[in-house]
Amino acid sequence: MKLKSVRAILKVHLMTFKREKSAVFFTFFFPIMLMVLFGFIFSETEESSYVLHLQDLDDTEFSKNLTSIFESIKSIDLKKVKADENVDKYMKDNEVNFLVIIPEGYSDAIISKITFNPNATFNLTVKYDPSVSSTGVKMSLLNSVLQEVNKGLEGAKDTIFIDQKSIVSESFDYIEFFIPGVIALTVMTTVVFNTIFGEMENKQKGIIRKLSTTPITRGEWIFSNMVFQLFLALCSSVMILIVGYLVFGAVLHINIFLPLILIVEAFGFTGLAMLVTRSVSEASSASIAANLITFPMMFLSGSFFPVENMPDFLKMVASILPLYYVNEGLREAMIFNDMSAAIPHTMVISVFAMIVFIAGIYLTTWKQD
Amino acid sequence: MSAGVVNTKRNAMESQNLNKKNDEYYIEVDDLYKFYGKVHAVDGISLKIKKGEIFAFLGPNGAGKTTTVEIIETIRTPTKGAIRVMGMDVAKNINEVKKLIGVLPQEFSSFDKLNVRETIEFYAHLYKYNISVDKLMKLMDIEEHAKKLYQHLSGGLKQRVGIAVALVNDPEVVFLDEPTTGLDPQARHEVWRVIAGLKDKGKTVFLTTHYMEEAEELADHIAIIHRGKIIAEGTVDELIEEHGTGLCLTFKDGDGGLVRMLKKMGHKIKERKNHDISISIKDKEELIDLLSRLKLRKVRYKEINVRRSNLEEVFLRLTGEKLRGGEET
Repeated sequence: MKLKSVRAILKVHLMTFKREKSAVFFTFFFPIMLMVLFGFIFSETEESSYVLHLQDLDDTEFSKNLTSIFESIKSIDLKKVKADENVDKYMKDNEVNFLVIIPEGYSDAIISKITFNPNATFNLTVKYDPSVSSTGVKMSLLNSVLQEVNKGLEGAKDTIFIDQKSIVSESFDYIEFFIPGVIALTVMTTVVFNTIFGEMENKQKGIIRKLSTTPITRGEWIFSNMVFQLFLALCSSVMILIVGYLVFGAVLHINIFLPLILIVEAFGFTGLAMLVTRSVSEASSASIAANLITFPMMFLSGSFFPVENMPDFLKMVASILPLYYVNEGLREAMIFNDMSAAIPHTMVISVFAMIVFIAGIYLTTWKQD
Repeated sequence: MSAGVVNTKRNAMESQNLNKKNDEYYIEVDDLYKFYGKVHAVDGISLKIKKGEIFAFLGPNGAGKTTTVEIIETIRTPTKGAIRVMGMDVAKNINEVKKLIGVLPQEFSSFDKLNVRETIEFYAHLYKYNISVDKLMKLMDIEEHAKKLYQHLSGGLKQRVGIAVALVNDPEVVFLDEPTTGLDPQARHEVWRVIAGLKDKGKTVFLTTHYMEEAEELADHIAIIHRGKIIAEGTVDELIEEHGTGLCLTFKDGDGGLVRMLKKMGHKIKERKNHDISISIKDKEELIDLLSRLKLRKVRYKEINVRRSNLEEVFLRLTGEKLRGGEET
């Protein structure tokens, strides 16, 4: 890979982009318009907190402390269930779809953990209805709380009480759910449309044919495109975050997973679009190809609405779409600040990006045969 | 990108390789075939092009010119056959060959939003060795257009930028695929001047064209291709000598009596436009004899034009078809 060639191609992309005013508009301002529009439409109507039912069978200071942690989180509307209730009947009678039980023995386990047995484990029981949309989010919330509790217990030095501030975003509402989705969606559509139409134009104008007679390699060309698309993706994301904060007061966690996921997303979709251009020779088919990639993912990957809201077969479809993992990864990282939950999603996108990049190099050719 | 990246020195290894290469022939094509299903786009072509000459590959659209040149340029893969550029087997040394050649593809176009200087600089940066962008713009006489966006250039200027781009790596062999197609006569002559200048710089030029005037004007060596096969090869003089129809005689403002007389004397009317009548004659002696007989019979015409046969007539004679596009010049 010759950096001189990569730099030269990047400069061409940047200058072309800068001088193409409509491209600047559609890349940066269109997603912001989309976010503002959807943000205003849905931010007032969506549930901003989730009802969590909890039964404390331990009934000790330790279990009460855990209960108070749940109560203190604004995104959680905690409903306590009496210890003598039959939870199955209670759930059925009250149409409860998610219930957490702190079993008896919780305090013993905590005491054991902080005194003589650092390896002590204890399981909370969760009863839930997987067919209900909000259970995925509730499970994520619960995991976030427990993660922080466990972190506090790990050192076993001071106390089991924990700092609650960093558990989840202070005001987790629809716009904060929506912003990672808009970022993921914007990166995908920008990358796919820019790449397919750009490659199509280069092919039709004979630029690809000319490049094929120079020492530049296909890998250098694809890589340069990926880097350029990544640059656009990062710029768009920053603008979306700024506007989200200024207009909606959306506060999201900015951590390493945001750029990391965007890098693999931009690389993955550029590679995929490069592969698609292999079979595209006309402007009309380029448009169809770009829409075929982006349109289903736009609605099935959970960018606008939680995947949990969808029927089971669509959930299965979502699970094979790369954008789903981008959305999930970004939300885990940006809403819940849950790195361990973001890792598997990032891994899936990384593998996808690697496969399409390698396939892009080996399956596409500049030969005109 | 800095404007004046100058590096015309080849490294020691490359120079060594060049010295080993065949000095006489810079392009050698041996028994080349390219099939697309049942269509034989290139059907057993062999060529040898000498160092420093302008070679014109002449033929109508669809004859196989571009397919052949694109195989030599490494853009296409041959079905069968061997190609050597400066002694190097193209199939085995694609990357090395790319460094030694410069290509102006058919219907060349570039990035609309880059200006002339940026376009040339971009391509220059793809090569390890490149010559000064300023020098190239001066050579192509496009300095005053340096800041114009490519999309705003005229057809002739675009082609001159294309040729500049083909020369960024200071190539030994330059391929120009139909460089004047679609240009007006003035722009075409500007491009011809540039191509002639390449020969003066010692470049070997492989020119494909369907304009016989272009080949006649520029080429040292011509091959005529028809339906994937080379049907004639040589210098312009050799081709006309061997396959031409001698002299072409045109009578201006001739009347019906002239036509009748010429037919009576056994001449076939080659072309009749308004009152202009063209025939072919073998040589100067036949011309003198014909004119004396017409004078004797007091046949009237305004004037006569005499010219020797051209490549169009050679092609017509060899194939029975016209070389389309020639009439546009």
